[in-house]
Amino acid sequence: MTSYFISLFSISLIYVLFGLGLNLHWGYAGLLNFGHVAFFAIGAYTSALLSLNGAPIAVGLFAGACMAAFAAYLVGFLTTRLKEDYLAIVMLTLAEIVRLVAVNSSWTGGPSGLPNIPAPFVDALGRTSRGMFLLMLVIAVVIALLLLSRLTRSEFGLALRAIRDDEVCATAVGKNIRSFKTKALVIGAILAGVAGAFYGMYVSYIVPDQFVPLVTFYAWVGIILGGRSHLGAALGTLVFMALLESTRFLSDMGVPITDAQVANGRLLIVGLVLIVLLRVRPQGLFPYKPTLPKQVRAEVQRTMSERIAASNHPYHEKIDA
Amino acid sequence: MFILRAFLDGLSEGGIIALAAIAITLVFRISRFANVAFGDLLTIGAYLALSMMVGWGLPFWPAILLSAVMTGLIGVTSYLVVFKPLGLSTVTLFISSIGLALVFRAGIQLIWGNDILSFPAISFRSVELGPITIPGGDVVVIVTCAIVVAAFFLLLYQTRIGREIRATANDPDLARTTGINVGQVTIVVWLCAAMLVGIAGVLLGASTALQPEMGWNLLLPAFAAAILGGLGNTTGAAIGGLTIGIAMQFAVMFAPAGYKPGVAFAIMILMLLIRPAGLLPSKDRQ
Repeated sequence: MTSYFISLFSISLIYVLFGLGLNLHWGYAGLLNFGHVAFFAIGAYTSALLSLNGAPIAVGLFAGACMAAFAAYLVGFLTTRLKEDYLAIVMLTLAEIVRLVAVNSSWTGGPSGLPNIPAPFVDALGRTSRGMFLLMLVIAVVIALLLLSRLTRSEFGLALRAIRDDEVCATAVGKNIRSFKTKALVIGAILAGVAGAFYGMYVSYIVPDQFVPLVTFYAWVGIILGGRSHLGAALGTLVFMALLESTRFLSDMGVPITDAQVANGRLLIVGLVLIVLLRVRPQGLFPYKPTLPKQVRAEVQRTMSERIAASNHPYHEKIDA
Repeated sequence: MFILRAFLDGLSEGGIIALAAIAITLVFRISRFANVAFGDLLTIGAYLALSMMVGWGLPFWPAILLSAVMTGLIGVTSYLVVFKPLGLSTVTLFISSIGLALVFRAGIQLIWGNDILSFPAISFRSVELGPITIPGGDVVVIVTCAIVVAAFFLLLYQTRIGREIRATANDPDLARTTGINVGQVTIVVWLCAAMLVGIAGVLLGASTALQPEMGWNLLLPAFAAAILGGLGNTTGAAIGGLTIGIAMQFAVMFAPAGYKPGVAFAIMILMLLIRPAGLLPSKDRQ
């Protein structure tokens, strides 16, 4: 039972790291990334290939993050000058290209993937290393949350949100939109790359089929469920992934269900949750709260409602400061 | 000889991509989002035709028509039930369409399973063209695509509803003030688009095989074709589809077959670098 919980939470926390990266893209910078799994796969393969060839695990992890960052930089270069729809499609394609390369190349192991990826703590601790791995993931998630909330409260974060909410305005006050967006892409991709590297170590073998587009949408559901704040996204992803992963153990517990039915059920759950949530509660369970001081917020709210009342704006119900 | 063969194969695959790309473009212009669920609707079209041919013993042509009508109805229903109540936010619509695509896929796998299936052996007469023989399947696909696209453009440019569709695509508010029933036009557009997607699915099933991911795999080349054509221009989407289909076939002559979809992506990325507005940019889009 303990090992079951350790496994459930380890996988879920890896997805939390992954989802936090996506939330920086979408929640804070407004970037429509539908191919986040590409950075996950790049991190996983880079780290696995290096550590299988004798490099220390930490070096593999670092290199995985760097390669993901580099890929994100290229994507940023390609798409930040175009409208938002283009980033969505380019990322969707990048994820497929990464998977195509993984399936068709010999150095990635092709469709059968890479087995026996080394994990940390195994040599020293043996069977109890799983617990240490979980602890390491908890620490990694906490560090990521702290760094991200520092980052998004800084001037950089404010500029990102300004760009997200009104690009023309942000340009007018002299913000270099392309550079800000690219930086956000790179930082989010680093998180995904690290998550990918951890994933490879945790499951100890990787195959291209683990990096299907559906993985990106797990993170999307997590964010839409939790809301666009860091904590909201983390909680949403944790809850959703824990629920989803627990379906894996149904057959072990004696429920008569085949693997194919489980996989199919997961598709159905992700799809339905996306559709229903967007309809019923698009802002998420823990929505992003503005961080302006109370007096300023009250002032903004007052002038806004006065102006809206004066202008008879048809969308007044949708505006809240 | 070899080149002509690759060209014809490319034409048949490009025709199918073009149908899907036109559908995506059409809905993009009217409802302002790229509908991901069309990929899996295409798969549904193919499987529906399979069930009709195997289960009811229907011949190929009635099956393709009936399947198109059914996917058309599924498309309209999906618009009315899922997309219409969501309002105008592009992002919300886009993500919902992904959700719907996953639900469609789950349904397909539930009903028809994960195995690779194929249509009952249909023999189409092959055509002798000078020294080469064009296989009957290719002929059927190319001719059907040509007829469907021609019929669609006739509808779009020669009828009253076509003019209303184009007016709504250009400026929905202005269209409304001139007395066009925009709600009705939107439904007609979804019906047409979903029917095109259904036909594309049956043709794809006839030229290759049926498997649950066939539509998803065709979706990205179709997006690439739509972007190549200027994301919003139906003529451009048709040309983009043919270009990508032919380019993919020629690439297979030099590169391993597994990289075939990569060619579509490479063309798309080159296009974004060189000419982001596409081959035929739509004039009203800044």
